[in-house]
Amino acid sequence: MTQFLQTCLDAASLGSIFALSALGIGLLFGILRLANVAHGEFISTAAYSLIVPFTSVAAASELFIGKWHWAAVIPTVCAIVVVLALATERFVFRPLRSASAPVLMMASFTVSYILQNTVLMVYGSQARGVNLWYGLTQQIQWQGLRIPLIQIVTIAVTAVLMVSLSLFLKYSRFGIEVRAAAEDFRMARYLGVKANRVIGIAFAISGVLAAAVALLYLPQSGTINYAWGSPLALYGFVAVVVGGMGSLPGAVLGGFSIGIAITMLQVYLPPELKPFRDAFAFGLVIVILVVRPNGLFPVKHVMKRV
Amino acid sequence: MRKPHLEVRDLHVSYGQIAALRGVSLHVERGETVCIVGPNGAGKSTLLAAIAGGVAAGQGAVLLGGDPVAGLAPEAIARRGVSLVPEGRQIFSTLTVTENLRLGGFLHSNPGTARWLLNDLMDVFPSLKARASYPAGRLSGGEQQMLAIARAIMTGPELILIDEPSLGLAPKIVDQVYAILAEIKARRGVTLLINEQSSTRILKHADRIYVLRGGQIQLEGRAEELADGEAIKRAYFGFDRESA
Repeated sequence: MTQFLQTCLDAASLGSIFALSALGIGLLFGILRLANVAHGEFISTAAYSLIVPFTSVAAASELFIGKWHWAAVIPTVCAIVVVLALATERFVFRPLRSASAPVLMMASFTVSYILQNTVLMVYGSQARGVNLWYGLTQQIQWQGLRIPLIQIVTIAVTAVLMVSLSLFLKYSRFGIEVRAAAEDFRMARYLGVKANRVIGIAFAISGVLAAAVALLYLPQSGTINYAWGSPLALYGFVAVVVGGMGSLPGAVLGGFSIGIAITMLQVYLPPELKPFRDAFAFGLVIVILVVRPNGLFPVKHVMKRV
Repeated sequence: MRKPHLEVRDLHVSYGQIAALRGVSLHVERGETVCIVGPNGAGKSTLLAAIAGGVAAGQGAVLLGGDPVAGLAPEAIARRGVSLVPEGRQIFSTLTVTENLRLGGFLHSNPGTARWLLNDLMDVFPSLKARASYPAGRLSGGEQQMLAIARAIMTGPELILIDEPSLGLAPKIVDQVYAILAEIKARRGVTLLINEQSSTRILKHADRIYVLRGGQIQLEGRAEELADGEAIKRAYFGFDRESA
């Protein structure tokens, strides 16, 4: 029983990370039909901004922003990624505003490669150890459970971010504009909704979510390399597809589903199959998509009555 | 001479190789109700979308009170007092009725204007008031059309472009739609440019009529001059019935 609760906690924590990643990707997809592959590089950039650039490889990299008090680290890292996300929007995706979805996706691939190679140039290709918030990796003992503090923090922060994002989308002026634009961008513009502002807000939120993923996952992973964010974005993508393209609650639930599936497979697969855990996880994804091609929680297409 | 509220000069719009508008010119005076009649595929929707900034003109000019607006973004043209009620309503089905209306009011720099308009419209449209917190996709077709019109008014327009308001609605509902349009016109003194496929009903409501076919204006005239419908029919179908 204790073992099972432990597994559930692991699943919820991993699921939170994937859900946050999926939200960042799903938001841009909903509005722009943009599958932003560069989201992984937004996550990597957040992590790399913590260590000193242009240094030789050391067992544990010297912290730069990461040395600061957490109350300074969080806004600074968020600001860095938001600026990066807005710059990509301004210089790549805005000029391609009227391009088709495949063109947008190719563009996001190129952004992804450019950012990866920039990281390679500035920080080198070898994996770097990063000791961020060492205290959070400690475990607390409770009722026979060993709970790493970071898992509790991850789940709590994710919950807070999701509640704030949904309140923002539900009640604020910008939230209504963003939801309208996600449903029918052209009609929203006919009513005076400024395209650049809505898209800018969506990119900024996506950047904050990427920074959150990086800061929550880094204390657990401990090392980063130039492609560190890519798998996190990949799982985010899969979560968006599994959850139902274009549905933000679907993206969140998809993220948790994937986190749960991977954790359960990690625990309950026979040892000789464990190295192939992800193959089983993605096999499950294919089964889900064959059974429910529109995802687990498809957008309810309210019939347009004539 | 007073400049027309809306003037379209030699407007050309193409989708790739296909020409949708081939040199359309028309004018709408302030306070007029003008109707564009034409068969499916004549270019009516394209014309309204081009005026509202939703599709780019290849050639020609759109002037509002004498100022050229072609090439401006739709959100900029909305701020010049133009509001579009598009074909098929295009209401935001996942947003509530109130959210649909509030969205139309965001462009006012004074939030009080939007609040006042919202309350005023809820009185004009009691059926929308009753369903204020419903997702708009759950409304009936007629209610959706009313919502689309109300939402357009929320932007505080001087010129409302309405694309096939009777499409897919029962005749009784169409009468209600036109009654509402007449009431709005009486209350707010707006200019109306309406697309319709059929001219029978519109002759009662319009001051002037243009017949559009094949991306070109075939006929222009005052509604009372065209009242017997024969000239419209010939222009609409593109042949002389007597000689055919």
